[in-house]
Amino acid sequence: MGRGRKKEPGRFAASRRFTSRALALAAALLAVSATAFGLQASEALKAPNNDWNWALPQGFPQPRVPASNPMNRGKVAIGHRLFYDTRLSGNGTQSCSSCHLPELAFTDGKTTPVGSTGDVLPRNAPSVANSAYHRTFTWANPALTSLESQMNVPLFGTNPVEMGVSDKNRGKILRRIKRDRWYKKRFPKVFRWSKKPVSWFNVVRSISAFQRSIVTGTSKYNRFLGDKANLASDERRGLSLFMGEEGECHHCHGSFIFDDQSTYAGAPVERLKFHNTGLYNVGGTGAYPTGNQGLYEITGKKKDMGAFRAPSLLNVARTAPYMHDGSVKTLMDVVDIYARGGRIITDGPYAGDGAKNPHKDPLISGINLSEQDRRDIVAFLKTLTEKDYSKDPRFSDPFKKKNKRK
Amino acid sequence: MESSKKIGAIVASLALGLLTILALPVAADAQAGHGKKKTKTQKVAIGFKALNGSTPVNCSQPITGLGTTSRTAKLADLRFYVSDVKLLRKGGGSVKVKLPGSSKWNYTKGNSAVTLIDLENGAGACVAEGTNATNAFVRGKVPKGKYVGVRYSVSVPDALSHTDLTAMPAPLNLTAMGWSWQYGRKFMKIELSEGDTPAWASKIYYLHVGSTDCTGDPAAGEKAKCALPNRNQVTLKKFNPARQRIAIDFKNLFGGVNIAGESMDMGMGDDMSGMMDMGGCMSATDSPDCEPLFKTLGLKLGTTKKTGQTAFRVVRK
Repeated sequence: MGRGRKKEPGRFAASRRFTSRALALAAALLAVSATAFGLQASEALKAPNNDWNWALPQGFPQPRVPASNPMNRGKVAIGHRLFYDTRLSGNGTQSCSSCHLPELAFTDGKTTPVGSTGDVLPRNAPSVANSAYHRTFTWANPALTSLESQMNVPLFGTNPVEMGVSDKNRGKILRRIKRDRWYKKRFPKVFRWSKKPVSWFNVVRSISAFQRSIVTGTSKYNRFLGDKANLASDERRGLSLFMGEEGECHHCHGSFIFDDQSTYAGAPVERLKFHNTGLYNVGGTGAYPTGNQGLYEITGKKKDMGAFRAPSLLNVARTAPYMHDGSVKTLMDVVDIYARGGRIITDGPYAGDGAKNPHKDPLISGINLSEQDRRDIVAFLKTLTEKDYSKDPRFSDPFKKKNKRK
Repeated sequence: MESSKKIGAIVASLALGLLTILALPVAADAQAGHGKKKTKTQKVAIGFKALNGSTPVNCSQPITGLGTTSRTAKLADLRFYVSDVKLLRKGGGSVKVKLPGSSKWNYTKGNSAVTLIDLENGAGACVAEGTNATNAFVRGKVPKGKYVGVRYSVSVPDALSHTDLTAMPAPLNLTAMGWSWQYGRKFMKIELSEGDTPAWASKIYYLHVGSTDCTGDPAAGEKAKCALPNRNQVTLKKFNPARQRIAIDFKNLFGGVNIAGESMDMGMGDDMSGMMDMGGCMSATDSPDCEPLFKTLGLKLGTTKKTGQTAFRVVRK
């Protein structure tokens, strides 16, 4: 219940006088300071890298776009097709979309994905929706702060192999792309300044631009914020618990995309946050399973054991299973674990009480939630589900569309 | 063992006798030098080779007697970047070896330069990720003078390491040498594949050295900084490039590790299973094998301390 923790300003949620709508708006405003937003709007007009109509949902700020990879329609279109193109993997069996399926909000529904050559990956496939706002990528890596640099991992990584692009096949894969008439027509137009328009450099930039373009906020909750939908009473109650000090969820999932690492054009630079949420405590030592130890694997510091990024909760009802290793099956299970202040594993190699993990974030202190409270929080989380991306032509599989026309 | 010691002694006495580098002095900028004071330079070619004790290491021959359990391995990869190369002057001091601009094996930008030493030829067990081309030399120029030794680092300077491999020229464009999780480069990539029975815990034993604990993303306009750069410094006080080579000696490098991994019946908990899937060292600070491997490279794992190395030694050409 947060005892012994510093009181924060604005503990408005403790009192039920405020309507949940006011709460939600306040939360959105907290995430995006009005002054920063005002400033960046004028900057965006000048910035050449925003030659793109973002159609931003209410409360969503202008995404940060690297100066080296300006947005434009042609590039996003190329990236869209490449994202779904299995020719991009070494053996031609996988595309980005193999592990980021539009109908599952760009996750894959598996505990952990399997790479193109059969390697089992250690971590659950995260969504790429609204990744334009992510400050860091993958589950726990402060070194990967752009979509462009992150993409080296699935493309070229060998431990494990994902797409399986190597020094041996990288030329061959580009030739596959070059032979395609659709690409042949567009690459030279979009990358006019390139001597060799079809290059890995431009492939990475195109896919990044497409991923960056997936900025959406069509959920019932987003419509509710814009006064275009109403929440049912259990959903409202869940929202109030989520944003309030009872649920405490908002500490790590309080931004406009329900994470705590989001960034945008003109955003202040904050300390990067990673959290140990008490999911494991192997043998009572505080350890997480070897090969999946979060930020600790990067820094080597014990305090970072089991620390992972808090993911965005938009579409969370579509992105099961949960957590960095996909080890939690349902949303109700997730809420139960947080209510308990950590997960207990009673037998097997990972036995231990996560609630007693010495490296656990103090915010995960256990919450007193009734059965009804838990159901209401889950009801609220379900209002974060967006329109099916596979039915939105901006994001859906362009190869499937083509097949239909035939 | 006895004969390799003898060879070592002969090599050492040879090195003592021939402290100067025998190389052709050439005039730098012969045409542009009109009116300017000419600085005489000389070419230098610093050669590397791979040995296991006294036996040459290559992709085709089994490597025997490796590590604490004396196992047999097949070479699967053997590449490393060399930077900050200096020749040590007779009587003290050092001069930088100036690389000849950029080529397939060298890249220079501003004050940063790097050479890729590639001692695998893509044959045998090196076929998976290897390349046919090889390069055993750091070639460059130094001011004419008398030199007695060499100093270098097995690393890529920060300014070049955290760069986009899809945008960089050779030798920084290799996916095999990419260190994507830290958006950098592997400084050293040596891989041994299973070459005997009983089966190894992991089919491949990896040695990947690179900077870790990095933050900041150049692709996002930030400057990359790594808390653990893992850049060593190799000093070979007596080295004559005309007559000698620098050997990376697998006998020393892998001397403190069990390349076959812990055997399964040693009562290891299931918690070690992840480690078993991936034998060797990928520069993780808690990897049991990294500590002895790093030590031979002159690095103290988990710190920025540099110590004396034992992996590289001077041998006859």
